[in-house]
Amino acid sequence: MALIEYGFKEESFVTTSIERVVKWARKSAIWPMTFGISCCAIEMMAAGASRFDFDRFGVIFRATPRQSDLMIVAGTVTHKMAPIVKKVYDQMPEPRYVLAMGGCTISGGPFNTYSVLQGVDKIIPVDVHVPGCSPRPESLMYGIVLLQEKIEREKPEVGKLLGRFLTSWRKRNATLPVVSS
Amino acid sequence: MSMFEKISRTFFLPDIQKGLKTTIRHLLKRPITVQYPKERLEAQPRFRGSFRLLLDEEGVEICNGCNVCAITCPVDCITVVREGKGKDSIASVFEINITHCMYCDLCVEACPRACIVMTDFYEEAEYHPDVILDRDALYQGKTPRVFKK
Repeated sequence: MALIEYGFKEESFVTTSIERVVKWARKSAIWPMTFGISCCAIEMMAAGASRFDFDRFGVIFRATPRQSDLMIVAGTVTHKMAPIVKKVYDQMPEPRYVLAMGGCTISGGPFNTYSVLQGVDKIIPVDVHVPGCSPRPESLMYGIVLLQEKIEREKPEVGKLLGRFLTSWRKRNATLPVVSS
Repeated sequence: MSMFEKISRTFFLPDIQKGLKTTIRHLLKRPITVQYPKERLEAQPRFRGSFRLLLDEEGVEICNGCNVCAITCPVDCITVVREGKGKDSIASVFEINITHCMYCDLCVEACPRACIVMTDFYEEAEYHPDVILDRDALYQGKTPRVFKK
């Protein structure tokens, strides 16, 4: 029997209200994966400690890319480290965001040499750039506030999300077809 | 042992009191967290934040476009174009790329006329990697956003 793909085609009151809830949930609980490479990592740790508490924004640091929505790249990215940054970014599930912290991730900083990648946006797409050397913890928090505003302006396609959920719910008891040689 | 001692020993009350002494002492102190968008810390006197160009008492620009700050900058984020000669020269173009800038303060130290200063504005996060402040923005300076609630 043919499998029907569910989906809400046009916008309605139901989908826009669900959109508001989804956007609010996404922006209030941003879980970053700390990718602290060098000095900016210290300021990131200071932002997470008790004087400037990141937990007030709903931000909890997760060490694994599989369960995080944001990747804070903090520190100079060298050519040796660049494939690792890309690999970890690929392991994050959608919706995912990247925050480039510090001058070195925006443009290589003062290190215009043969071994430093001049800006991490050459390998992964970056949403918010926070300049500074190192940026103050409040500056990083302002970067998170800008990211929250960006998430607020997005359009999560709730019709497609619901459709994918309902389709996978229908398939929950399916088994793989048996191939006999 | 009195009845009171017997009961408190059964429920481990002296041990709980010994273990939670530090926690309860911290509960009764003032919290040290700075609630960032609503409260901000006082800026220290030599804090290196964003830039500002200065005018002198009559409102004339002090900067004469000598280019020393652009040469000193380790990241090459300042662009200065000089117009005129000698004492009457001014900088017709003065741009600083603030996302590339590393806020090291070398341009302020190098300026021979002390016309560039660093303010205490630190909220420079942007969506785009190349944000350039031109002359008018530098003469005006920036103020921090006000967050309600």
